[in-house]
Amino acid sequence: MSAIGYKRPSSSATKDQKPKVFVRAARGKVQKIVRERYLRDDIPCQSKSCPLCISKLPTDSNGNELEPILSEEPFFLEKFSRHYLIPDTNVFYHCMDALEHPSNFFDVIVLQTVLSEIASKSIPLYNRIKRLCQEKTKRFTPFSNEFFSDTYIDKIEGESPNDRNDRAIRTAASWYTGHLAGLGIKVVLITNDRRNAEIAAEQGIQTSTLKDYVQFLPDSEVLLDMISAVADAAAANEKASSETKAIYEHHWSTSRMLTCIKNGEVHKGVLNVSTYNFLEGSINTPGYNKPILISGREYLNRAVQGDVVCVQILPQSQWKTEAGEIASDDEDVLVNASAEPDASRSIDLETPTSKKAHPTGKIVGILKRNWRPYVGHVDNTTVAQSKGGSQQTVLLTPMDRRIPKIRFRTRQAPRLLGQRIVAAIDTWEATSRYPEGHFVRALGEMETKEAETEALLLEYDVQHRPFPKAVLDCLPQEGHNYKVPADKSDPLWKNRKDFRDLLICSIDPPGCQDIDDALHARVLPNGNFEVGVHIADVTHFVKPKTAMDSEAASRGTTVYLVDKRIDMLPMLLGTELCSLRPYVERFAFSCLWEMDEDANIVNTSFTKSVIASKEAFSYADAQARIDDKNMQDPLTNGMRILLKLSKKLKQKRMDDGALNLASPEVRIQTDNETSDPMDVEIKQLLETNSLVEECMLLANISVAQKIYDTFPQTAVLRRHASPPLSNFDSLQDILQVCKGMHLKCDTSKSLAKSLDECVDPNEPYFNTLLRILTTRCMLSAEYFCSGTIAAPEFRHYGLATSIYTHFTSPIRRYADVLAHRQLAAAIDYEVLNPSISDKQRLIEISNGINYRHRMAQMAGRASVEYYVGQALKGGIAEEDAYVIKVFKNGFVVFIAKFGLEGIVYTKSMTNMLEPNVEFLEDKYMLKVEIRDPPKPKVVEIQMFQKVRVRVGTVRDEHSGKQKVDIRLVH
Amino acid sequence: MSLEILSLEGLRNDGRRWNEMRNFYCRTGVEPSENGSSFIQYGNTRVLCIIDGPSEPTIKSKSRADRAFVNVDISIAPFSTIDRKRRFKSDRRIQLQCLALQRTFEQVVQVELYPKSQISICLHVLHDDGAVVATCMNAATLALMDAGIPMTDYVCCCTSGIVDSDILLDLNSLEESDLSWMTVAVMGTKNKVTYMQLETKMHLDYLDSVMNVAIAGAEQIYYMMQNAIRQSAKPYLAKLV
Repeated sequence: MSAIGYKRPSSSATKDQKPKVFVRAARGKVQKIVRERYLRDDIPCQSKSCPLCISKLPTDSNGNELEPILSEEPFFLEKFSRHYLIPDTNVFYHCMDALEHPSNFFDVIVLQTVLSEIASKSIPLYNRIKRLCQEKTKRFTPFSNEFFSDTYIDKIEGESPNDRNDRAIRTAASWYTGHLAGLGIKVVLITNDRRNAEIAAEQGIQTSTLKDYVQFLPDSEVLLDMISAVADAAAANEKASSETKAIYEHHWSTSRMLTCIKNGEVHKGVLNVSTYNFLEGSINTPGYNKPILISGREYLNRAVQGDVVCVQILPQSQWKTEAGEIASDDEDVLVNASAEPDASRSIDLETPTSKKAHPTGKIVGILKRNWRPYVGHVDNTTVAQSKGGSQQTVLLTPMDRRIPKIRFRTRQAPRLLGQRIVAAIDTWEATSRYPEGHFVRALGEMETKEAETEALLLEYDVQHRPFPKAVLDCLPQEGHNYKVPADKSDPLWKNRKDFRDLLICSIDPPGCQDIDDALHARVLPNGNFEVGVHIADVTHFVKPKTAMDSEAASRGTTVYLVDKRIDMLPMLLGTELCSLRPYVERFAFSCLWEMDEDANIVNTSFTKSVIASKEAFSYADAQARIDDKNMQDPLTNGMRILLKLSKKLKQKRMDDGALNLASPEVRIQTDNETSDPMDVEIKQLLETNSLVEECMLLANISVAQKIYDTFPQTAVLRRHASPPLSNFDSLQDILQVCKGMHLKCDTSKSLAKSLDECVDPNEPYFNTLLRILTTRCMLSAEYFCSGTIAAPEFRHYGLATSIYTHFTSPIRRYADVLAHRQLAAAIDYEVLNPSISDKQRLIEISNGINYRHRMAQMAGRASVEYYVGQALKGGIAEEDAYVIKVFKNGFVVFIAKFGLEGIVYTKSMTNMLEPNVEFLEDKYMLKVEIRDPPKPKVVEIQMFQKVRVRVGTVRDEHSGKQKVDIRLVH
Repeated sequence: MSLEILSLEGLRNDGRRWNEMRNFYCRTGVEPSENGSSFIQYGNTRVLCIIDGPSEPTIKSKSRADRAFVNVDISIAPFSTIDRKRRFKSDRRIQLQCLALQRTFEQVVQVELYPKSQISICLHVLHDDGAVVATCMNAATLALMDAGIPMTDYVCCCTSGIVDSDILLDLNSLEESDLSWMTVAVMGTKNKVTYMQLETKMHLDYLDSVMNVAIAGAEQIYYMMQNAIRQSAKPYLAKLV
């Protein structure tokens, strides 16, 4: 450790700075903030070729010396010679996508002034810059100009903070120019502010706008598109001068919004746009127990899905119910609809209007934008082929139906047609119908597997970049040859039990490579049974606070797509060293129970162990082996014991009120060689599935109890809150009206019971359908830290247990890794690392993994949907389907065979004459009068009705994309 | 203002590195009419200390036949912190701090030389920007010396904290509110810890190294305080010769 120093402020004229700031805090209290600033003379310039600065590089408290980052041979351009770049704040703010381009923009100096301005503007952007600086591949380096006596400047009387910061940036650039002069390296200040550039040029600093600079680069065309519309100063001026009429109302100022929120005049909330109709959104606020509806382009007033907005409630006479209409992709229909935001459209879907009217509102301002890069395709009607390579404005239709089209300017329009591309929104002016954005990158040809998968991963924010080197460096040196040490005196054997002789096997889906769990059971001398669940000991390899640990935490979960798996941990661990593969010795974390004949637990213990799995079965293989009476070997008998006990465990759970819910799960049969989808089938459930499930539930519950007992404040648990009864209202009503059945929902037990009773003898699938719909009424389960919630709230509603956690799949879920560490500490195997006893941090991590978990699920579903679409391509199938939602101009059907949901528009039911549609809202019924010759007739569509549909794909004319088309067979 | 305790370059939010202390300025005899007095400015933290005594005890019941008792009063100015707020002597935190100082100085001051008397240490915190207890200890040491009260050694006090695995010396109030830190007081250069306070959770693995950093910081303070005492003693030295 280096010596403890004592820092005197630099002896320069400025001395130590003691700016005094008065801040008005909440509730009108005035706070006085006085801060010191020590100006230093030892800030290194970070250039590898500067001998002066290399000699004074500091070390951190762990004794690591910091390394210079900027290269000795920076990029050369005719105009600027060899140079480093200094972008100003706005360049980062508007053109980050371009700066992140992998093969351009190296050796960039990020000034502290810039960094702190960014931090106050946008935290995500700040983090992106920080990551670039840390990764070092693009040689971005921070430079603390505000702490450096040579570059620090005082604020001049009457100078605005912006001007002061611009001056600070120029001062730093000028210092760099002088400092590097002797080394033959120049700096270029990148700024789009013309005035700033002029002053800088007077001071002898090389400057350029980003646009001008990019023109010298090899990929200029792509890069130019990535420069945001706002940064394009010329374009901005042009827009300002041409006084087009505002389409939208102007947003309120932030201070006005905040004041009015305080007064209760307006409400704050997150905008949630309907998936069926992108011109309708809802906002949940504490002020109203029903969501506030916002419909029409004008009232949405440029808000985008996820934005934190300020909403003003409309007079009660304009309150209505959820619009019973589905917005189709046809732009004309929507324009007409939004032009008259009156009550005529508001046909009730649930019950009569007067009783259940939702408050409606209009958005008056936006507190926080939630913009991210959006994946989509260029609308080909907006591209003028004739223009060739010149710049033109095109519209991007995002994949997410809730996002409006994005307008951006591009020079490569013809080439972008038919490509999946990513674009970001920059602004949305009141004068512009669509948001303005810029092109980020192209993912590839649409409908190709690579591009669609990539698009899906981006859209659901799945971290899918390859593991960085720092993470791979955390893997064991031996790689694939890593073995459990043979010598039992090895420190790795310390406190580990030797279970290599036990007859342990694993049961998983066919072709499973990351085997998390293995099982065994045997009869004890006293007649009881010993049941063991052995979980891969991931935390043996993934130690806290390593690069691998933080990467796994940020990924949160392994994401399974139909043809691809995005691992949480590197392959070597997931499928090799941790995976409990048969015939090899592996480290494991074991839960052992002693149970009596009736599956009552007599004794529970946990231990780290070494196991050698005897066999890896698939569910079907295991089932076959159990069913085969001739197999009487101990391994099979062990499985029979497990099966017997698991049935009793399941019965107990069911008696406690566990729900047997259903979700439409399908498997996609793929061609082995091309992995093209061949067929879709519904997942089969065998007894062995339930065997494994019961054992895992038991392990999770036991572990949850143990870690909660030991760490009452910080245990990482999982809960499933009871859904509010009102969630079931509409389903109960529909069921009553359409089927005359009643659903009791007050407790999970009565719900389970009434679900069992709701059986339609003529329709065997009805019960499953009902379970699917019931599941949708529930809340989703979530991870949490036990100190944040009262103990009675720990309940897992679906499983009907009072406490639950995830422990059994540490290879693919990060929550399990945390549970493993906490359990290891709870049984005194290792010291509890501070990172998992810090409540605040655990709360952050649980929120993170909840988000990742949700995204992974949605990505998985979207992937299945895409493949089902692909499987249907070309062919037309006639299938049975069930009506699950009825709207005014169409209805939603669920096709059980494909697990697919789709909209049937009434419009599509006839070929020639538009049908007359009558919507009987209280009966959840549509009467469609088909007037087509030869035989006009009336078709009735009601909720839960079984219908015959023809499923095919059509080519969407706007997008040139295949989409599933469902038509009623009548 | 940056978001992090340590920037990417390893600088703290006031421009210091991990192992750097704030500016330390101290003076004795700032109030000539009192028995002893001192003033310390440690960064923005400013403390004034006045010694009264040894004198007859004001509270008779506390009087001891064989030694003097040390009475500590800390008053924190309403304008000393971010929020303007009046603090009373009955404040639990202030009482705890008084007790800590009292116990420490009863060990260091040679109280047995003044039986049946009282030594009163009166501390005024004029501005609090972190390390208040440490600055109070240092100020009391200087003021007691200024009063000519015999002590076995200097009490030098410093703080250190830890953020992730990076140790920081001498935290300001912004850092104190964000991370886990401790106050350590050492007797002179003897590495003898007389007082240590840790109010937040800290992992045992790091405790040792964090403490070592604080001790090293206290040693620096020792040299600076000794320097100040020597300066103030110069006129007396001249008279002696």
